[in-house]
Amino acid sequence: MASKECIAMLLAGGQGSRLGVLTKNIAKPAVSFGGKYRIIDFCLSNCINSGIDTVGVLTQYKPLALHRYIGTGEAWDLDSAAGGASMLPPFATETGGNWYDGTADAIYRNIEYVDGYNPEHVLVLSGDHLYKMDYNDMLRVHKDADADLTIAVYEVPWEEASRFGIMSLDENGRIGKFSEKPKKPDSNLASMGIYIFRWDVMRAALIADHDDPESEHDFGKNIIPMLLGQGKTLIPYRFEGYWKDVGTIDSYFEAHMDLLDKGLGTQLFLEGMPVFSNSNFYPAQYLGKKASVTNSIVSNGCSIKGSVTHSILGSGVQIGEGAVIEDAILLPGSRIGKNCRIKKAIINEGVHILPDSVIEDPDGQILVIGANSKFAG
Amino acid sequence: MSKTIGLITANYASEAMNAVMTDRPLAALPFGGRYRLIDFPLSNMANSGITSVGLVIPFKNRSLIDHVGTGKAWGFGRKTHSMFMLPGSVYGKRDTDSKFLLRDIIQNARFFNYEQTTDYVLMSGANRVISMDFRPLIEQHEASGVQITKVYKGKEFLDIFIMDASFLNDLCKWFSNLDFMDITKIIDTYLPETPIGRYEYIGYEHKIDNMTDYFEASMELLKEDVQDMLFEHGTVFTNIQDRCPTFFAPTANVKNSLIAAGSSIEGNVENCIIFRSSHISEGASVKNCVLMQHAEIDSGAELKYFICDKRVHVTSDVKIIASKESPYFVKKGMTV
Repeated sequence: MASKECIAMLLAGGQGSRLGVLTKNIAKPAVSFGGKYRIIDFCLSNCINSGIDTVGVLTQYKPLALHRYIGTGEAWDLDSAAGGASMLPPFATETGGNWYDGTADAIYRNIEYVDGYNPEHVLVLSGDHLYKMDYNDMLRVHKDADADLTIAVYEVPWEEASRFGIMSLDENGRIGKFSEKPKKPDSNLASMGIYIFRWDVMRAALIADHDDPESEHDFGKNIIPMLLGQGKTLIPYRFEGYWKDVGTIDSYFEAHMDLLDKGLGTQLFLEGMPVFSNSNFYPAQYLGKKASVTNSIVSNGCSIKGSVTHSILGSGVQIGEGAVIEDAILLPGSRIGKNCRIKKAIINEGVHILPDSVIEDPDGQILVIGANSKFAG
Repeated sequence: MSKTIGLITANYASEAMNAVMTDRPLAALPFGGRYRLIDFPLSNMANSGITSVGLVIPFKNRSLIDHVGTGKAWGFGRKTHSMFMLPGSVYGKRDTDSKFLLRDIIQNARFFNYEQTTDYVLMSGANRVISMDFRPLIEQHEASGVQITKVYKGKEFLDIFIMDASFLNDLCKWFSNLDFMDITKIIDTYLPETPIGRYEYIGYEHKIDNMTDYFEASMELLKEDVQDMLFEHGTVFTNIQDRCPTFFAPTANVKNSLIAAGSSIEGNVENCIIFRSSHISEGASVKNCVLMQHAEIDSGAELKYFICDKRVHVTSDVKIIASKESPYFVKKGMTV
């Protein structure tokens, strides 16, 4: 039987309810990011750039746009005959059907898919994180240590450590303890939710976890503690680049502003491995005679006649004459009418803002304007 | 249902352009920030539901083949939608006078014979910026009963015509000793009695035979009605390169310009076409310019009516002020 050294299982089924209207109609990994991208582009690109050509994408919440977007995986070169991207939504069996009940359960229900590739290792990813990583390097560390499970960790500020799943290391530098959102953290190494398991170890753990009626079938809460209890070898893989869970409106907005302010744009898009996306065909962007665009990121197909500063514009965004856009994220296909004033706002895909609208919160809160609606301020 | 196959001839260059720019067939000429001229006829074929297209390529075909590949970006290169590379019969013409050489058809007869069920052959040149739906043309030709229908805009023949496959087949047999001639000229000269249909095109088009044409067509792209006519009625497909969006620095000052992805703009830009992955430094000023892919303009440089091919580097404080009548050209890879 042919076998793969490592395949990826990408968790993309979460609702991402904290993103509000942005995920009203689409799953969180499908949410637009950085102008022309969608959040899941980063993970998919990381996979192919790391030589991982087999990716099972576990979907559940409103998966249609995500399925359509990923398609055959061709845009990421993940349409290979020997593997490629496979969309894995919940399915029925002869004994009925169930929704995925937790991250571990989602993979448990696809054991047959993984077995089909007979991999030595399985990389588990979250489709809603923003970072560039060479998983191959992590795999090398995992193999060199002969580990059962390697967890990517990120050093977070101590005062924020209680918001994360925290890994405490023993004297050998292995993971000795895992605490989910500890009140008094004894380490500041946060789990990034990126795991490489030996498949035989993971497979046995998933089956044992499935049979445990008390389990929430969660990697962090159940699988990792189980393996620690069994005395398996768990090691950390330290990551130092940019990494962000864009799970809330605040963090989503902040990550966009980082693109402009912290040189993140250069780091993510220009340096190192390329980020691929399944983009549509747009002409070059047009800036009109009265346009002004400064300190901004603008995608193909935009037509700008107003003034834009410190903002991110997605593909095909149109901005009318006299409009003033500041600190805003305009997602693909949104249209801003003449003389609008928009400050510190996120305008969702395809939203039309009628002329002369004013979108600005007097208290400086981030405003989010929902999907497929016309809005007059 | 009748079947139409497409044929795009791309085996000609413009001597006038190659004197100042990189030697390449006109079809591979970069245009409009992210396109090459071949994108227009190929997209027109794709958008008109034509599922089989032959592309007559010149001897110097690297840039063209590199760009079109299997035709996948245009929806070809599939089981049911195919693009065929047809080697041109001559070395590659240095002018654009004859585009539809009979010998290109004869030499690639297998492409036409392979498509046994073909009723019509729709031919297009590749030296025009045009976004045209061929379906009404096919309908008109089919209804008219004539053997050939040519597309005009006013008095100008747009190097687009459709003919009965059987008629083309006949021409190949009858005129094999005149195979160095252009099909349309053979008909005009030796078959003057042939009824020729006329289809009137009313959209935008611009012929590109020389640098004046090129500069003029580029500048016309800055007009919104031209943008609408070219891009709103059907997607113009092109080779996807996965460039990131363009960065505008706090110092950027850009007016009336088309900017392609992957660029970084820190300086002043007005009335320009800037291709992918170009960099305009702070304090640089470019006006009425066409800068092809990977242009690098250093600070203090001042350019007016300047056209450069790919990967040109203009160093600090260089001033080149040309005029609309005679823009300044710089070849590929040069440092100025």
